[in-house]
Amino acid sequence: MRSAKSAIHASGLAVVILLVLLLAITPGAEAQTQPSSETDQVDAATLRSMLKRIAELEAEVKDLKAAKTEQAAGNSAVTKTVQPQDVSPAPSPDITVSNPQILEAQRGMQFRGFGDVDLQGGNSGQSNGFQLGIFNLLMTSRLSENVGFLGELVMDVSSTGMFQIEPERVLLAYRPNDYFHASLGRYHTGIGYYNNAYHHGAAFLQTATGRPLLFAFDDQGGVLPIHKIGLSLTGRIPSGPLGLNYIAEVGYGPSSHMGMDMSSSNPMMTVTDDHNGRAFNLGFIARPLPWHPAQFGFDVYHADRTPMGMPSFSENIYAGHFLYQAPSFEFLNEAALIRHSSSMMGTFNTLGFYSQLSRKCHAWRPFVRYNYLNAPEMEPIFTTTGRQSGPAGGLRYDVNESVALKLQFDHLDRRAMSAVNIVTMQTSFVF
Amino acid sequence: MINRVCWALIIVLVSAPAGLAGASNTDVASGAGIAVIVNTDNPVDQLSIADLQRIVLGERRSWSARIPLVLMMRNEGSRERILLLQKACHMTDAEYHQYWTGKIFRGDVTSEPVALPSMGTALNFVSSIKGGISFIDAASVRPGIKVMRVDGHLPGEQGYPLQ
Repeated sequence: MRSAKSAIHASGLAVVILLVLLLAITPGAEAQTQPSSETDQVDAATLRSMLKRIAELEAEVKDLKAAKTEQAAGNSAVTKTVQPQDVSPAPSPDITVSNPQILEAQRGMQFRGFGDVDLQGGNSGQSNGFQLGIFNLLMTSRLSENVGFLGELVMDVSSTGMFQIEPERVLLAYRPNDYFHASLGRYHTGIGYYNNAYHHGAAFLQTATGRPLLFAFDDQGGVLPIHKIGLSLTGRIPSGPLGLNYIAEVGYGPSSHMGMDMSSSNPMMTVTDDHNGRAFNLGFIARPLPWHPAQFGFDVYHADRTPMGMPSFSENIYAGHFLYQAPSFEFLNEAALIRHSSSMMGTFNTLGFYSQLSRKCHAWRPFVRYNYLNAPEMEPIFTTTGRQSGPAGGLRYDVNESVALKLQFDHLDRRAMSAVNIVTMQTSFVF
Repeated sequence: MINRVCWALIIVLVSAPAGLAGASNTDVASGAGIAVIVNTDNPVDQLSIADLQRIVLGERRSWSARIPLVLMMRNEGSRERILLLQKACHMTDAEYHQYWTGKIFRGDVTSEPVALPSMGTALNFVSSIKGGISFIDAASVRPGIKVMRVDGHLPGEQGYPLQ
């Protein structure tokens, strides 16, 4: 038995030696041992920096060995209490190269991509089958210690089947500290939580396959102003455990002249507002430390809108939210009242809310959401909204930290129209 | 029928045992615990675990109006990182990565925190950057840096939350 085992070992050894010899004489292996022309072109500066880095690492290893020796000779580490502040001189490491490396690691243009592919079936009137979702290219760059840039290009397929590319966000941000953060450019309005937390192409980041009805994009029949071009200020308010934050925005409001933008089918303002009118948003968010990660918020928004052939309307939006969002548990609740007032036509109140609950079980996350949106029949701006309400439920499966699969069923009751039932399978990813 | 199914799903979601979450079940041998280290010039001496969570999650980004906070995490898979995320944020590494992806997407930050490959590097950077904060094994603390009290305790003391 033992001789048989040794024979197997010997034959195995012979095979390994043979494989090593074969690899050694193959052209590929030979090519690897030859210096390439690129290697020849490595400049002296690179070599100097590499040698310097090697010297640093050697010094670090030396320090670690010394520390280990000290530790072995000293008291037991587990029972030792570390002093809060040690004023002894530092071992003066050479950090002249490493410090810029850290800062440079955060600078430079960084790209991220988001996308999704959907398979949809139902009686919504849209074509059933595979649909390409949104492809989102996000660019960020740290320009200096306090200044950053964010650009977001979204590519999607329009209702006519044509691809369209649109810069959804272009922002120059200045953030000197936690109390003041200014962003200038085109941004998502800070009304409520969902709009600013999940942007275009955020299918991977959000639990469900799409946005709540209340926060539908304005080119998809949404009722809230999703974008603005202007200035957004956010920051913390010194408030101890209350964890108060403010948001103040001034920007150009949405255009009321649908179809005036001839460059695309998107009725949303792309460059400027038709009446050059400004919109204001002021909000407060509380994240009380004792109830972390709960969050409460309230916003007031005001703009003037002038639909084509109609008198001017004053638009006031009052939005509130309560949410509890931990990695394993999510409970989102938001409501908004949109009030359009005109001295000639009266006042119209549109109410919307949604509630979403989900719980993570390892890689699985079942979720349920209820949507409600009710616009008056004679609403002059939301002419096709009506009343829509109904539940949605589904299951999300995280394949890994970059890919998620979702299956969702939506049921929507509509005023004076037949109910809609949709089943959606979605593959979303980030790269 | 649809409403009944939805109500059943809600009841299941609310009543499911917390153990199913899987976010904080990683068993990491803690030893002496994780020391929160800052520069000796940092005016702050102690943090609550909630403060630490906000720092690690990038919600707090300055020590004071004039001292920016430079968060330097340890590299992925390191014991210090896993234990810190588990104890302070109740997150796994993958969840933390996903969290920062969302934060970048929202425009809150331009990149993820720097991940340092070794304790020596963490010590070097913290001792050289005024607003720097990093995390090392408490047994490897050396002169030249300040160790923060967390919830009033130092590493090795009873009640220290990061061990």
